Amino acid sequence: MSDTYAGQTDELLINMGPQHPSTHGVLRVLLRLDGEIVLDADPDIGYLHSSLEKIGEAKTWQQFVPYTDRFDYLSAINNEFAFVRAVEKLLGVRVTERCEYIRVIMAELQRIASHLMYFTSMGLDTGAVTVYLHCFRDRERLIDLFEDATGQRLLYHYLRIGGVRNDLPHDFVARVRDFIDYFPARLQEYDNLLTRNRVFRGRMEGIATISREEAVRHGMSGPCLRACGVDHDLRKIIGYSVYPQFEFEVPVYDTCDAMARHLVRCDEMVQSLRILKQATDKLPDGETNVKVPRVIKPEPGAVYERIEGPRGEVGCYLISDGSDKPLRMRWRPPSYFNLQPLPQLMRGGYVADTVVAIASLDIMLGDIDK
Amino acid sequence: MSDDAIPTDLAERFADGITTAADGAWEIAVSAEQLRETLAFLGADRQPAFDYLVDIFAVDYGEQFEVVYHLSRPRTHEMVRVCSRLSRQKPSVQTVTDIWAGASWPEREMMEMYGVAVEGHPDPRNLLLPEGWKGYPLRKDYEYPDDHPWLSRDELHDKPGEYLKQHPVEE
Repeated sequence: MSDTYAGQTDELLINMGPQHPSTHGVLRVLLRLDGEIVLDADPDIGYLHSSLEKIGEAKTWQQFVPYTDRFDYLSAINNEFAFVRAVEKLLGVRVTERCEYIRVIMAELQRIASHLMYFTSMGLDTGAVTVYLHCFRDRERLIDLFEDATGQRLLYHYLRIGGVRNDLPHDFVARVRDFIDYFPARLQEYDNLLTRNRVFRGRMEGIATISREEAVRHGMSGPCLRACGVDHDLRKIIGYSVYPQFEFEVPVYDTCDAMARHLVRCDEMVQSLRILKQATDKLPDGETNVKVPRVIKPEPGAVYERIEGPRGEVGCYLISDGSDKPLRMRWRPPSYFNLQPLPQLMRGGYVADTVVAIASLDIMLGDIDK
Repeated sequence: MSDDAIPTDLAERFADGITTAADGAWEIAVSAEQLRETLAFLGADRQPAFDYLVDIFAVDYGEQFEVVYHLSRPRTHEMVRVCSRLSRQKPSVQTVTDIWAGASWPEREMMEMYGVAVEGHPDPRNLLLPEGWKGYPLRKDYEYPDDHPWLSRDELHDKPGEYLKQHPVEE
């Protein structure tokens, strides 16, 4: 009996998600397996589609700002940054120096918080459950800072057209400096717990590779692209806001695998601390907001604003027809383009590596599904 | 965005058709017939090619649609915006998935949201919307469905005053 079936295998079509602890949101991946080897993967998105681009045409320019938070809800400040800068460009408004510094400080704090969340899910997905608690302990410190400055823990609606909602609390800078002193030791801890862990490295090295050429043709950006040896960081290349005034490096690795993406994010946290230190040292006094009309009606025109979010290039294309609502609000999400080559990352790997592949891309379904 | 001058090879090829937009991108307006050829030149033939696909999407201008392609090169801030106006009656473009593999999803989104046909697309299923969705949501004349099985309009939430009059709460 057993000889009749010897050597015959069947392909298995299995569903991963949309409710799944490791898909980083509601992502469904249809896997075609031959035993434990993935023959093909087909990501199915749209479970979180909230027609935000349609809403963008129905709300006024200021009304849409809180909606931008909800795209990539783990790095809300960066989303607001892109949208608010785009509208300011349409209006021809220049914000004050203090406002730019505050925005950069918030953006970098948000970058660290977002990467800590990545660490959490990376640990969880590879089986290292304790890392979650360590990262969240530190993330709570950042969230407390955000709560004191903006009133919100996660979705801030802090950056406004023409400035920010309110000036920083009086002890904010001191607490950021405390965090800068406190955090490097924690980074060392994460290094020992995760990055240098032999089991973790075995699960990450050589897994979910994509070639440099393919990554660029797919429009991948952020840590995913910098892990393929492409030195592309919009903070350096465009130098938007006041980033040119700070000295920092852009970590680039070239093994194109999940471990490289992980290392890029680890190093980015160190560089964010550098930017924060310089920004808090040089934070100028002055007004935070400029006067912007109550009913905003930009001149007809179009602008595309790109910024570097924790996950990659966040873009906002706004078309104004002179009225108080956008004619078109197009969001260019980083995770959308980062997720597209998922079949290539998964093909030929094991089922257990599918989870690592998704986690290493650090995607955000709110961004992907808009 | 690039505040630099338009590169000579692009200026020669496109002459008056290429301008520098307000945000610094080099904007090329082409007709629907020349679209594929222009994109193939920018993304494959030109050296160095604009191989970093930033975005592809459509805009509904009322009488016409416009498809917009944002292209760039990694490690530079150069950006090219290729726009093409399409008729509203039968909007159609050719796929560029053979040039940029990352065009697959944005083109699928364009197909389902605007009804712009993309010829030659390897996988023309709906991306974000469920299978069999009627209508093209991002068009300006889209009507919201009244009879969808699980997303229908709800009188209680749409017109609460009337609903409550008809279904008074019992004391």
